[in-house]
Amino acid sequence: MNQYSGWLLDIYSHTERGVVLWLLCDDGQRRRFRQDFPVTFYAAGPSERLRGLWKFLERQPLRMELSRDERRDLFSGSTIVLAATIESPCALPPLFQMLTRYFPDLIFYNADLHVALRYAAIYKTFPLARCHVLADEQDAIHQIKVLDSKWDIDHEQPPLRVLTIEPDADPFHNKPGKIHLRSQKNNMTLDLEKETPLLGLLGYLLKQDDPDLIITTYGDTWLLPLLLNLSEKRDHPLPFNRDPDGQVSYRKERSYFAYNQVIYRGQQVHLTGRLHLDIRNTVMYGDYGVDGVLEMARVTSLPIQTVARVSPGTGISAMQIVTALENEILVPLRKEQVERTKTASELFHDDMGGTVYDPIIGLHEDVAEVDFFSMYPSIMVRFNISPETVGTEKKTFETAAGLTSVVKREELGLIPQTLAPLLEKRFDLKSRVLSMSKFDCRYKNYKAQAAAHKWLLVTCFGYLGYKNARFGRIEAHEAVTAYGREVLLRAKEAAEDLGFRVLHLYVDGMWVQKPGSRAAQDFQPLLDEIKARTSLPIALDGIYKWVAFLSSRWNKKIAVPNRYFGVFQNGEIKTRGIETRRHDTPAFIRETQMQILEALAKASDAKELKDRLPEIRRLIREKQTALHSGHIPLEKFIVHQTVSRKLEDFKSPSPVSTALEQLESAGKSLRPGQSVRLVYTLGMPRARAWDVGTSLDPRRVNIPRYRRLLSRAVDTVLDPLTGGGRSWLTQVEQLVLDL
Amino acid sequence: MGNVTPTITDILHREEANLAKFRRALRREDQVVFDDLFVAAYKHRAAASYAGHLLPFETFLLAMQMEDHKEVMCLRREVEALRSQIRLLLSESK
Amino acid sequence: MDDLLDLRPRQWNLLVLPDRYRNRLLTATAHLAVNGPLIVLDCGRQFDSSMVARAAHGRAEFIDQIKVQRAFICYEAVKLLEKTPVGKTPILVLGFLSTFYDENVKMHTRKFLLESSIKHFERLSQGAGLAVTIHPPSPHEDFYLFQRLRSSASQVLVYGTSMTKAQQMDLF
Repeated sequence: MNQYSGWLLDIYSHTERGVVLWLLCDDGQRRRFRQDFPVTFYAAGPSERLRGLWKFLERQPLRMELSRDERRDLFSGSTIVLAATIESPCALPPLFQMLTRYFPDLIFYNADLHVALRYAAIYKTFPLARCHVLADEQDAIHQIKVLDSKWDIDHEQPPLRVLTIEPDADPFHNKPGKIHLRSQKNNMTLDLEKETPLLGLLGYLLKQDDPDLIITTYGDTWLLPLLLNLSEKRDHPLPFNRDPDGQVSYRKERSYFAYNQVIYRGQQVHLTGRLHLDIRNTVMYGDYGVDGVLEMARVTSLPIQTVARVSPGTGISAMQIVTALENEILVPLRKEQVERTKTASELFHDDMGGTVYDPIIGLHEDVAEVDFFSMYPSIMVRFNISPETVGTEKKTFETAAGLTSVVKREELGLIPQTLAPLLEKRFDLKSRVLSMSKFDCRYKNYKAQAAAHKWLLVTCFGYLGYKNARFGRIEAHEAVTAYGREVLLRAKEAAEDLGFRVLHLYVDGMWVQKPGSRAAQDFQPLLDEIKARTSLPIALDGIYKWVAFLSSRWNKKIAVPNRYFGVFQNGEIKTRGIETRRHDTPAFIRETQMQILEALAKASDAKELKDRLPEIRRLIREKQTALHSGHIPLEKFIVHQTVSRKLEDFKSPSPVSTALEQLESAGKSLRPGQSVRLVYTLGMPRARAWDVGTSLDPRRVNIPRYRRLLSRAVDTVLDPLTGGGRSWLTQVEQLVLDL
Repeated sequence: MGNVTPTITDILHREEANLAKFRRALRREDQVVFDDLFVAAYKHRAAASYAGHLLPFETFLLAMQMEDHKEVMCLRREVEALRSQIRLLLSESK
Repeated sequence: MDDLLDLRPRQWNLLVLPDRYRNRLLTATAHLAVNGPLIVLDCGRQFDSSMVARAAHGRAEFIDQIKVQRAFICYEAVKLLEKTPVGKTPILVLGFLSTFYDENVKMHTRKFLLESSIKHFERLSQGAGLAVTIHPPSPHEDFYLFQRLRSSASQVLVYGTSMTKAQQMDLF
């Protein structure tokens, strides 16, 4: 027997039996282990049908053990099931597909779970866990022990060998000519046209550097398919896979509808024994980078290559599955509970959304923003809201006002059990980040971890009501909203009782003001009072020197809930819902608006704001001159828009459909959910796709249209300060802006 | 899970749309007043939503009335202030 | 009284209604509730309780005669039917096929679920009356499911599916 310790890189099904595990060993070796790992799935239903299934399974050419068992369903409790255990996890997906066809009336459990999640539930593993392994001479694992926990914050960093590959152009825009490769040891540029040296050197580099993680730009959608095709054509194998028996697996591109929008996922290329991340196909990469992806993998137990490319909803689902497996609760394919019967007026009350107040329009000084810490998840944990605890008969706990369902409290629910450690970890991280210098070497990593948690926690509430959730229930979703409303109202009442004016309430934040209150300690009594009344953690997000809540562009008397900007006492600018935050704002306009805000941020209080106007006036004049004299680089005019439907489904021509049409004729098609880049042009057509292939004549740019957009962006940030008029501009300048 | 019940904002817009003909036939200066009333209702939709009244329009009407009354109270204060100023001026001139 | 929902014992009506009939349908539902209890199984996000409340002039004693359950995926739709007993209360199933046009569910499974549903419709029609509404299928949706359901109903009522686009004349 040999002993090894190191970091667990990946787990997947072996092609014959059990699983394959890759360990980054402490001696620097990357070892592949194998382990027997039989998996069990269950079926429930009428006994004659289960007998039929039993006979069917017996006829299958698979080593399988069948038995009658009693297992716990989260909702119906102890359930008689047929249990089938197979030695080869990789044989389960095709078998299960067959079963749904022949036995559509049976309820299957634990039948479609990722093997990494099953393994995690038994051995407490997670990607990049520190492990100790006892294996025989054939590298078959006899014992595995995990040495750290996914909930540790300062875990040892695994010595990942990283190779980055990046083309010299966006392949959708221009055909790249070269690729740049960078690793700890090497740095080289390869010519894509010269195929022999390309394959030779790339192969050499993969062998020489033996990277654990290959980070590419466009690797999923363009680069790896291109290189692998070439390697096949030239019969020159490229060792992208570290596992000699492993296959490169491809997942097709798709568009789907979720969270009220069309989402596009590009094609994926997964490797064995190594990890491939395409930063252009990695969810939230811009938000949290590789550190965030690794943290997502740790807390969800999903393989790194998978977690990088799925929505946070899938992450939350994976966490729930692991909790269920650990508690020996059956995992159904989808939830089996239907909504309880409601009277029409109950439905009317329960189906209400969260409370959204209209802010008080205008500029306000010395405003504190207090935020509930992850309000919805905190509510689920604090009040034990879970699909199986809500809507029961017995009322055993204080329920929110207006909530018609009751919540059971004796047993900790599946969802609170899943979320509690995640909330705790995030809370710890946040407190550490707050008391830490930005130059601390851990700062960036902590921020990335916190960002990953944030997405999971934001999603977990919606997921509770998601129609395809395995453990979801509409009543639980409604209960969370009901508690949310109650909590916000109690916070509002606490603030008003202590003499604060509530300027705004939005989701889980509140903006308050009281003459003379401008230091953190002035708001402490309020935080304490809210905590006492709601029993939920709340913190001071910051104190604004000034903040402006904006009115709707269509009606100046109507406020928009999430449209504001302000400057905190530490000089930090916060904006929501204005042009700088919108992804369809051209860079030129976004930058100008940000520069104006930066100029405003220099004012020490609201009274000084007007003193900044001459500087801003100069700035706007410069920008206008640049716009007219053609000094703005063309790419700063690009507008990004999400494709909402197929080209043929557009009823009337729009800039997006025009751009799509141009791309289509250039042989480049986009699918719903993808982003299209376009520039507004003069005459017909009114827009031009940026990626159409040929260069754009700068004289065709629709300068008047960009001038209008600029004027609007300027108005957004100056209107609240100047009281709506632009009297401080000269008449000529106003005319120019109005054109 | 996709609320079937429309949001309070949707309901308000629907009520406004139901009165579109009424609004159209109003004189322009009265249309402005009409629109102002709906802005008043719009301002209190958080409260209207929380109230969950089976006929939300009744709460909208109350919101309109409230904004009106706010205006009256404000004007009343102003009249009071002006009155006391006049009293003061009169007593000084005596 | 609207004759849109003419529920009679021992038969089941299939109503093919374009979406613009929803208001009328919900008003008719509210009016039915004035006469007595009613079970509504909403399988297509059709039951807008605010519209029903408005049609019943906000009177809770009528509105609460309606007991509602909703389904958001086809499995749930079938489960709702399965759990509904035959009794003296008329049953209204709204937007029944909507959840069946879900490409995430394999076609053979959807067909299987539809067959089970049809059996349940036959069972439920033995009670105080059953009406099932569906919208006319759009070109993207599977016509087979629509046809199959149509062929199994005791009575099919099709409302204004082919809307003639009248050309508006210029007034002046």
